[in-house]
Amino acid sequence: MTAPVRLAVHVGRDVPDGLTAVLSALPPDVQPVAASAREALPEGTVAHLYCSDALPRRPATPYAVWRVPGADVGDLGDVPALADAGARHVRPGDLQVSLRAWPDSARPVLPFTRAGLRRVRDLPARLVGEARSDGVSWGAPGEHPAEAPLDTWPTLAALASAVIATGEELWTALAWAAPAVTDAAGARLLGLTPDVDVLVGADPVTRARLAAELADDDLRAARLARSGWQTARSHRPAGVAAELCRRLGVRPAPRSTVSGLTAALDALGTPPHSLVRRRARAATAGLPGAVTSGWRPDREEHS
Amino acid sequence: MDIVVCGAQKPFVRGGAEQHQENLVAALETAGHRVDLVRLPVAWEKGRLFDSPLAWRMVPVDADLVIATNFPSYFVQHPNKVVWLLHQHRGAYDGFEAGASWSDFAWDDVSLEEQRLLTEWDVAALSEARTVFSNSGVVSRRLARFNGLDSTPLAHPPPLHEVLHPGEFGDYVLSVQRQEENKRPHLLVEAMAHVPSPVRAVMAGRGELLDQVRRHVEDAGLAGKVELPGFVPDADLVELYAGALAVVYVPEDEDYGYTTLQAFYAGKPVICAADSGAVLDWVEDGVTGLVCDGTPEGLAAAIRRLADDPALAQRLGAAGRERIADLSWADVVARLTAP
Amino acid sequence: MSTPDPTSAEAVERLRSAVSPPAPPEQPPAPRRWERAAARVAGRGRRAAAGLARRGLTPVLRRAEVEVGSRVQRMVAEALDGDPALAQVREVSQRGGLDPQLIRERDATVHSAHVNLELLKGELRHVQTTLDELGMAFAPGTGLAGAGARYAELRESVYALERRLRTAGSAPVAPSNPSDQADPADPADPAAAPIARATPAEGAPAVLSSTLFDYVGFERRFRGDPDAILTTLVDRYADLLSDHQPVVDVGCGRGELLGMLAERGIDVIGVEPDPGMAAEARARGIRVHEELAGDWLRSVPDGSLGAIITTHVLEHLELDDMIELLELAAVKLGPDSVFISETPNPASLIVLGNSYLLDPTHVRPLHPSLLAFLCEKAGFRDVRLRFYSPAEDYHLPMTAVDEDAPAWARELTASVNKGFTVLNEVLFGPQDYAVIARTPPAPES
Repeated sequence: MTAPVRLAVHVGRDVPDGLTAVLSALPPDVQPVAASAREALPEGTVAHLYCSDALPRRPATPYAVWRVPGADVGDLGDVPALADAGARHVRPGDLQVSLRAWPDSARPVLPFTRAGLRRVRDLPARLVGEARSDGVSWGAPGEHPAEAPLDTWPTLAALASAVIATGEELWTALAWAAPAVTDAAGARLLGLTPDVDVLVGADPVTRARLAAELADDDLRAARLARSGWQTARSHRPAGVAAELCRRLGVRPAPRSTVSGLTAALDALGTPPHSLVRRRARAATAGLPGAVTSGWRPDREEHS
Repeated sequence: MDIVVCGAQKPFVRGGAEQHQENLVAALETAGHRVDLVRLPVAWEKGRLFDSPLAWRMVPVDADLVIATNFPSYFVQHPNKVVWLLHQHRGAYDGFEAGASWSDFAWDDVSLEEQRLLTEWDVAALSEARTVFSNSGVVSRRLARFNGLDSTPLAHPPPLHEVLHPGEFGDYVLSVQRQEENKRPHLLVEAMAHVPSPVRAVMAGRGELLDQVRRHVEDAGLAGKVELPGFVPDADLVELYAGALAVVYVPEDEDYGYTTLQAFYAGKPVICAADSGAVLDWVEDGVTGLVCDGTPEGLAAAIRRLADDPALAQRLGAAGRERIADLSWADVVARLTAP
Repeated sequence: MSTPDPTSAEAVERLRSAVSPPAPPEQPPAPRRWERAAARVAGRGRRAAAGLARRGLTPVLRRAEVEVGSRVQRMVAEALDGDPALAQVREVSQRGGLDPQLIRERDATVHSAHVNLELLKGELRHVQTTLDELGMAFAPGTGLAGAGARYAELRESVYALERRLRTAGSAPVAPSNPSDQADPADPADPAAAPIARATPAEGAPAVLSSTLFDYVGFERRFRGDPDAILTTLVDRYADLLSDHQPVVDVGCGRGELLGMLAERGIDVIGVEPDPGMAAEARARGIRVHEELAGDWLRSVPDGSLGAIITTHVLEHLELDDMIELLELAAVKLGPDSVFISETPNPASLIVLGNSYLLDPTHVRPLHPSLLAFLCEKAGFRDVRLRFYSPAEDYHLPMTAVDEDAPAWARELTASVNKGFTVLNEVLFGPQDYAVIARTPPAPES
């Protein structure tokens, strides 16, 4: 067994919420350990994560910095910086951590498949959905929209050619990879880049026009949908943890135990009941351990 | 560097992709790399669609660089992965969209969920790559439209490029292709009925439709005007290219097609159809060839135009040769292995 | 795929039918029952585990883990009925295994408890550091442990001041330092009073009590590699000094340190009474005042200096000269400036027995606590001690025994090691120390 590699974590006065989540989501063979300047580093420490209020003049390298409110460390150059998504002190290029729950059962449906589903479900070929505080409205662009209760939003998020939303509804839309239009505050709050992850319109008329254009432009809608979905996903603690390891050059051991079929299927985003999972299980039925990610039931400890 | 080239293969079938992978291996070796080709079988039908991608996911590949080529070899996991995409799973994407008979995807929930999942898997696997190149503009456009991913078209020289050479402009148009449905061989046969003598057509290449096309020629009484020699050895093929008036290549939504480039190496104009896909990356109407409307009459008109005006054929052919002057495997290798 | 979800025909039908009447608040298509339950249980487990970990209740945590695990296992068994891979999962289950998803849930519980523990450790250490610093500020040299005594001392000083105020009536407040029995203050300049009153030093730094001793030759032979010494000094102090300019090196010698500081763009001034050394320092392009430190310091305006550093100088001074130098420094430095003095540490006996006695120009061993005390008395606000380079080469080695060695052997080893540790500290402790003292910050305007 290879020894785990350690990420030394230097915290200051407070521990940001997102930090706990990101550390919990580190790959299993990367262990976070508390560290301070006054004592020897634990064996196997390969990188450091400093909260900005505990950042010394000469940090040990390689390191990353978690921006804590009130302890501005400015531009860090190549050093990876992390921050809570949508916080005021976030700078462009920061890894943003969002603790919003990923909607249950959401799966990315890119515009091509959306069009197919609309056809199969007998919905308009071009369909724009909008979330408001009291409900949703939907319809072909330019026609009088129909109204529905807010809890039908996931259906629009999954099937519309383009959606208009902010806040939690925008998050849901991104989880379904909907081509989305929002306002400037909505984009900032979720850490999205205008024109890359979402389109931004200042007023309802502009947003409606942008959504109608998007519904007509397959290429742009596909790029926006893919990018928005990936960006939102990358803000989840697991995504941030993986990117942090990559930027710090921390590689889990190549013969990681997490190499089972299930891990591979999970990493690709396979839904729990899809056919390919059953096929994988059936194919490996005679090979215990293949499905359980290499975990062996006869082993006592498995942390 | 130690490089592993990854490719998918259907056992007992050899086509352009397999040849392409071997040429890539040879070019990388010429550049001084140690190269191995790793292949896994692939099944295209819906029920088994994800088996091979998942298998690729689990294949341990230790190398400095991994270059993946076609679906689903790009599902291989490696920290230094470069993709040079020949094609995705066409049945789930463009074949389905075009309603192609060879796609088993239909307008039902199961098909759409498989398509959705494949899209998600493709995005995940291709996003891991350091760079995604594609074989042609068509492949790049599909990747952008279906998966929202950007890629850079990267062209390479066709087989025989080192021996192909220009020659006299003779009295025949040449077609070099497998005689298969998406290549539309019947189109040229029907067009030849509208082309006056002495212009002939030589259709080189075997394929499942060969016998059917031969019967078509006989039934139409075109035996003297259309030759179907079947397999033609490379040396003869080079001379056929050299002596042709023009090359006819009218496939339906082709991914790449070596014929176009081979024609350009031989200094011949190419006549293609407006829906011929990647061929249109190269054939510009009135510049390097002629683009017809895809009807027998339209094709015949294009052939007649070149037969009547050999100077035009020469001019277009020279422009085509100009167009491929910069293509080289050394350049391809340099871009694929760039750090 | 058969799971009802937002893309299903039923969901779309809801969307369509909900046109006018507000539909009953029906849940959006839900994941399978056991999934929701599992997520809920796992979430609760995670929170509970984190809470327990906070209280350090490892055994309780273990129990909770097992409980979560077995409940989840039951749910899996129920949920997987009818799955084609059931046989395999059941087989693995019977051998103590679970569905991978749930193993991961459980692992995540344990993992996040670990993470929470680590973060708590980190927070604790931060508090510890803060307390240590507080202690050092209170009682240099001894930290928090000496804070109580130090506090009592301060209170005593305050009472003493009070008593004297009462007896002195309206007389100006006399400074409470050992030299206040010296000449009376110059009444014309009350601010400079305490210093002007002090006896002018006869030869401030590097005064030799012998005219025959070849100090330069001595230094060359015994002081060690000058480059290494310099680099160490720069590493230790350059950052701090660069924040407080201009920097004065009292007894700058050939100006090596100032030269390196100047290369970093720091504004430097040298004070060196020896003409030969001063000339060498000037040759490096450094501004050098060729006079005694006391004389020069008196000549500059109050509050005009950023930092004063002296290295291996104070131990060469008579007590009164040293006190005068410290007091002058406190006055001439601006608000929130630093005074740094590095000298050999006589509390480490190998230093006392070797290098200290070796140099005949050392007036007396200067104990860190004494120097810290003098700095405070001179008017510095925040006085800290730093200790450097323990004589580890001499350290008595620690002994290790196997875990399974007999108890008496382990006890013996432990007590020997404990003794060695104490000896190492006393005999071969840090060879140098520095006092880093700050002047009070500017009053808020």
